[in-house]
Amino acid sequence: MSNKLLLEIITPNGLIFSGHVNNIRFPGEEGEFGVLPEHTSIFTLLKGGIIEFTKENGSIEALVINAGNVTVDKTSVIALVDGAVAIEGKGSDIAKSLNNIRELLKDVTDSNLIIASVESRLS
Amino acid sequence: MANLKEIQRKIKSVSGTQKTTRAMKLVSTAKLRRAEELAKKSSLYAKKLNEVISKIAASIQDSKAGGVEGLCFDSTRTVKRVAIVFVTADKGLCGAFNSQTIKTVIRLIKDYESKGIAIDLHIVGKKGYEYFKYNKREIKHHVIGLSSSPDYDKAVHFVASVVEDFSNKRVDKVVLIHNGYKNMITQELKINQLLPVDVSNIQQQVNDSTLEIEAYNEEVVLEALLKKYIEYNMYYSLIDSLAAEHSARMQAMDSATNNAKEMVKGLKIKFNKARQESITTELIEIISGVESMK
Repeated sequence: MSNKLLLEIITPNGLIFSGHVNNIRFPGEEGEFGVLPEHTSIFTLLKGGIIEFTKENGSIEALVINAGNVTVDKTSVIALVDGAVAIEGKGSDIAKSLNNIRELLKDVTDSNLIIASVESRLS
Repeated sequence: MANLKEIQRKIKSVSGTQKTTRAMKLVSTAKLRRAEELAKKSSLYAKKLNEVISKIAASIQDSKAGGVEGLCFDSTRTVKRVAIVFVTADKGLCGAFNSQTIKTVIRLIKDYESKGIAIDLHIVGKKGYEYFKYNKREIKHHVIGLSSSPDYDKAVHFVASVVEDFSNKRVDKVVLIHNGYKNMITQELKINQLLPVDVSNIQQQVNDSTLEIEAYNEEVVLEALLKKYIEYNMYYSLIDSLAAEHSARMQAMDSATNNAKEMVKGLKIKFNKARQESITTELIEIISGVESMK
């Protein structure tokens, strides 16, 4: 049994991320939830928030999404999201990526909370 | 001499046409690149979305959900009225692109009508609308201007009436037809049964682990997913069709340019022959004039 999950994050503009990960955290409609390998098959909706996952090499990556759904299987996770922006950037790039995130979240309720948490990550 | 002038005029007009078709080809090539990129990017999302919905449809077959959501997955219901939604271009000059779609639609209509099933036509694009209007067919709903500039919100608006008919049980089946993009030189006609969700061809690929829908509110989840599925399929067929339209036009204009080139070549030969002939006649006239003076 493989203890790795194949994560695919797809937006209407194409594939955002595809690769093996150790664990993932999703902003579910009913609250945040984590997914580890061998998770039971489930389908649920996602709301605006942060998807965070640990890659095979241990590095943690995060991206902000506005809405979508996710299909979890034992070995694979497919997240279909409407829009996504990666949380990254150093120095002057931070402002730019924050702007992108604000733009993405303009239709999402309690977006301030998400933005605040993004800001704390970046600084 | 009059003949010569006429040929010259023809050559000029054909080369003019050739210039136009070449320009149109270049425009289509540029537009195709953009449309193709958009279609390619979205195709993955559309594919995965359909996969997810198929999986859910398969797992829901047994549990028979109620309400509108259940209706969307119920493939056993008898079909009395079918809504055919199809996409054509707003503009012509793209070879058999539009007529192919129209032909398929006519075939489907005949097929259904022979079984005593009524048809609702929902048309995107001027060409399809004009055809069916000319043939005095009843058109339920049409929209012009959407296929040349696909827009998500407008697509949603257009498809909403179809979905409403379906959930009111006025329509028992929704079929979506468009001429899709395959590669630069080929288009592929895609007939997609939108509602009820088609489960017949995916049954085998569903693995043993049945998919569970998070229990807190199954109906909300399904409704959201179905909405997305329908809207996105509609939108995707628009952008796919646009890419195909440009590739079809590019090809049509390319062959038109080539034909014009051939024609100019033929006309030039004709022109030279006529010129030669007139010179010969003139020479004969001069010579015979000289001869008669001797």
